[in-house]
Amino acid sequence: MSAVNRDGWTARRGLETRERRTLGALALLLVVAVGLSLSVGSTFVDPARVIGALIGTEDGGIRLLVVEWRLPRALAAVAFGAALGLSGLVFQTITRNELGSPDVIGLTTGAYTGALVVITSGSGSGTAVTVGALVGGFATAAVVAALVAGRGDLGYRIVIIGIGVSAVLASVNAWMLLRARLEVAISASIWGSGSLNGVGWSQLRTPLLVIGVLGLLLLCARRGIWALQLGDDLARGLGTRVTATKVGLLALAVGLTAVVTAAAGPIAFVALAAPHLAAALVRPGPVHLAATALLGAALLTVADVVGQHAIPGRAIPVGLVTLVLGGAYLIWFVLRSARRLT
Amino acid sequence: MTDAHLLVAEDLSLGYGRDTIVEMLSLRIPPGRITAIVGANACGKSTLLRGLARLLAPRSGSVLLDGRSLQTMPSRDIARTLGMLPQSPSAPSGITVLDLVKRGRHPHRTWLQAWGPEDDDAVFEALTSTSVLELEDTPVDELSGGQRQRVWIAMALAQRTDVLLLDEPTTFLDVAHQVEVLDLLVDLNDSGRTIVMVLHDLGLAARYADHVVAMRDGAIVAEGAPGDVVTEDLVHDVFGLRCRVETDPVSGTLLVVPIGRRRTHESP
Amino acid sequence: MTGRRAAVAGVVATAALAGAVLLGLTIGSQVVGLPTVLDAVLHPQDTQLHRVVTESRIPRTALGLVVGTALGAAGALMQGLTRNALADPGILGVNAGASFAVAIAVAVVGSSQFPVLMVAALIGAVLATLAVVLIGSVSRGNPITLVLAGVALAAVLGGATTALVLIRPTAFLAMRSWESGSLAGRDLDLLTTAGPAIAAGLLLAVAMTRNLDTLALGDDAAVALGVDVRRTRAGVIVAVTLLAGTATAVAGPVAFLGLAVPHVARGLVGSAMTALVPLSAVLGAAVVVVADVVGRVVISPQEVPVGIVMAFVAAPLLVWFGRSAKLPQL
Repeated sequence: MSAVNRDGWTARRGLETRERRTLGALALLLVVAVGLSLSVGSTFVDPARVIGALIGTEDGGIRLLVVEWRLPRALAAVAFGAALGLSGLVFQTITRNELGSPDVIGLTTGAYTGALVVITSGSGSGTAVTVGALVGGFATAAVVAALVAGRGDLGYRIVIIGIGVSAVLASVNAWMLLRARLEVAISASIWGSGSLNGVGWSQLRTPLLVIGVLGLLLLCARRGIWALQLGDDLARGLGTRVTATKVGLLALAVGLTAVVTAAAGPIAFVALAAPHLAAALVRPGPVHLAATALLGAALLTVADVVGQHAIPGRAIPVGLVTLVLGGAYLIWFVLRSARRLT
Repeated sequence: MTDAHLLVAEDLSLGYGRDTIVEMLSLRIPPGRITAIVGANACGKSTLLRGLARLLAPRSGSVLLDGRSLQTMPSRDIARTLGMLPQSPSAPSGITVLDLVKRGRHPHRTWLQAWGPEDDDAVFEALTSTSVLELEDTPVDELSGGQRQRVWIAMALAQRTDVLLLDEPTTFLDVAHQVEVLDLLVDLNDSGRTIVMVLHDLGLAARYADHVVAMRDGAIVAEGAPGDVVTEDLVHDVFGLRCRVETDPVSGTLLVVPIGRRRTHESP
Repeated sequence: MTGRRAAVAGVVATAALAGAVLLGLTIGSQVVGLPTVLDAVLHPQDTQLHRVVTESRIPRTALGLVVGTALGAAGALMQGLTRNALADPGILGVNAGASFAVAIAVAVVGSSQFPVLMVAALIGAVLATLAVVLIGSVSRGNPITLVLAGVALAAVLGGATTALVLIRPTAFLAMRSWESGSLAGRDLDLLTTAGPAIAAGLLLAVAMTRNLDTLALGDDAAVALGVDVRRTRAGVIVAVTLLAGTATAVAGPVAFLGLAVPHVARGLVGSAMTALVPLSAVLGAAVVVVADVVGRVVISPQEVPVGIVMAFVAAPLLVWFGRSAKLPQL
């Protein structure tokens, strides 16, 4: 073994300059998006007054508008976006597939089913719908889990079985929409498109708490993600209890998606796109985790701003905006990566 | 200096799904030595290695590390003594050499522990003994086959295990890199590490291994020093190949010269 | 893959088809006996029963056969092309494009006449397929790229469609009934337009199958064996568009048929396209007709659209595959 000079060498590296800049840029993007979300609207509030309202120097109408109405919605976008992004990252790791996302295993479809049952049976109260969505989402996850259990090769099987379960539930949903009265069907469709409408402080409290707890747990479990990224064999060789880790991480991811879907309806593509986009910007590891959360939050916040204000007088549900934006981006992403291959 | 550990398979049966690949196999891996497991395709050598590494749970029988059954030991404890490099390992795209090698420290760090000087030592030694230190910030995807294999071995080394199991570490490498990797394994063995590797090249096994285990159809046909195992009769028995065994002029170990139908002085 | 196995499978499939047709003509909210059916065909009179047969049963069964044949064959072709057992004609953007075009026709143009919708659906399907192929072709037809491109486009178009119909409630109504895939209320005249298109698609499909099998060995191996890779891929894509596009234009989006039927067929005759495509076509026809019957019967006198029934049929199949010890390989 050659005697190599070890002066002050350490394997511990801080963030590279490039990554520091990237995370900084993402954080800035998020702040700008939130700022827009708080300023733009039927009443434009210029940034100085927004800050004033936040720190308490403004009062009256402006404070009410910014802090009571717009702020919870903006915070919801940030928290929900981050939660979805992280959930997607976990799903992609476990299914070892870039297309692995909570949408694929029928979780969001099942939540929609639960919500539809509540909506079409007449009781339109927000809490009831939320409960319905939670029950639907978890029930679906449980069914998929039960169907997958006992067999190896978790990743691939989850996708196939998830698509199957999703198909049944999507049909049930289509059926319920078909039978319902027009106004009910339309409002149910809006919920089904994922909307942050009417998310105020009282609705935000519980989801925010749950997301916080689950996010913290995910942070503690992050080494399991790094191990699983190397494949089952190496993960096991490094001492990871692979099945237990997968199940635990999956539970966290399901929880994150379920709480968001219950509160805002199914919001597609953030879980799929945020980890991809983040991976294009930074290397694998804790940096990727942070970038995914930031990017998911930024994506959803921007989508909500666009949805609310792009067409004057018409509010488009945020879920539709993410769908279109996410899809368009994925097309660009596919073109770019395909070009790199050829 | 590393400790010598005893790895033993006792009446081990292994399989996938409904198939049993290895049945009632017993094997003692000589501690502190290089063992090569050879055999024709699909003879069960990879399956055996995976069973020894506890990647595959035994159908019956057991694998004992220093007298304790692997099934009863916590996986993390095993990972501090036994390291394994599977056949075609995959790394997340974009990961650098340093980050990958650092992941080898996983079994030594609980989620409460911060990165410490011992971790630094392990990673540094791993990088220098595999000569990849100058590549530490390079993405693994951009490396050549030989370099990549060395990086994977570095990761296994960072684990600081006394026993190293490798599944076909040379299969996708060109000849120069094959020799490079095997020479490295001999270096590692010099400090007392027990090395067990599945090799498909009998000649390389004869040259580099202290102990050869020849398998056919899931069972051990012969084992022992290369001189005892690599004989013309055995090669024919295990590989179905006629050959002549000569002395290698470069290393003084055994050389397997295949006899085919054409291009040969030998009579059919 | 012995010829004998293929022959047995063919017999089974044909028998299933005959049975399906029988059910399709006789079973419904009312059971019409076979003699009455024959009578209605040969000596049509203006009785209620005869009208049910001529105006509902025969068109639905005939169109069901045509749609099922088309989607079954298209599904098998897609799975062969993308070498992906989860591929579905919907992945090439057919359903999404058709739905989007129909939404535009209803919301923007303001028409909800069926022939108009059908033309719109076909145009939408073709354009969407072209778009996906163009995007996917950047990597020389790499199957994964194609699938990703299709998923992405479907998402974008789906979002745009939903946005459109939420803005116009009348559009919502029309889309809602079109979206579920149904054979009800379709005129037998449709057969004169849809029939030739699907026949052309089927002929092209059969012509492509041998080359497609060779393509499955890998692009390099296929070229070495003298196959024109680009032309084969193009031919398959045109065939799929013709078949799935027309079927979707006629019946609305019927998802999962193209996914599920080839899986069953593969279990019977293996993965060779030369046997798989024809068998999938026949089985597809049988399945759609039976699904339509089930939709008529299960909550009679109300109807469940065939698209919804299909999902219930396909889902257990997928779950069964997901649980099987050997994962479906192509």
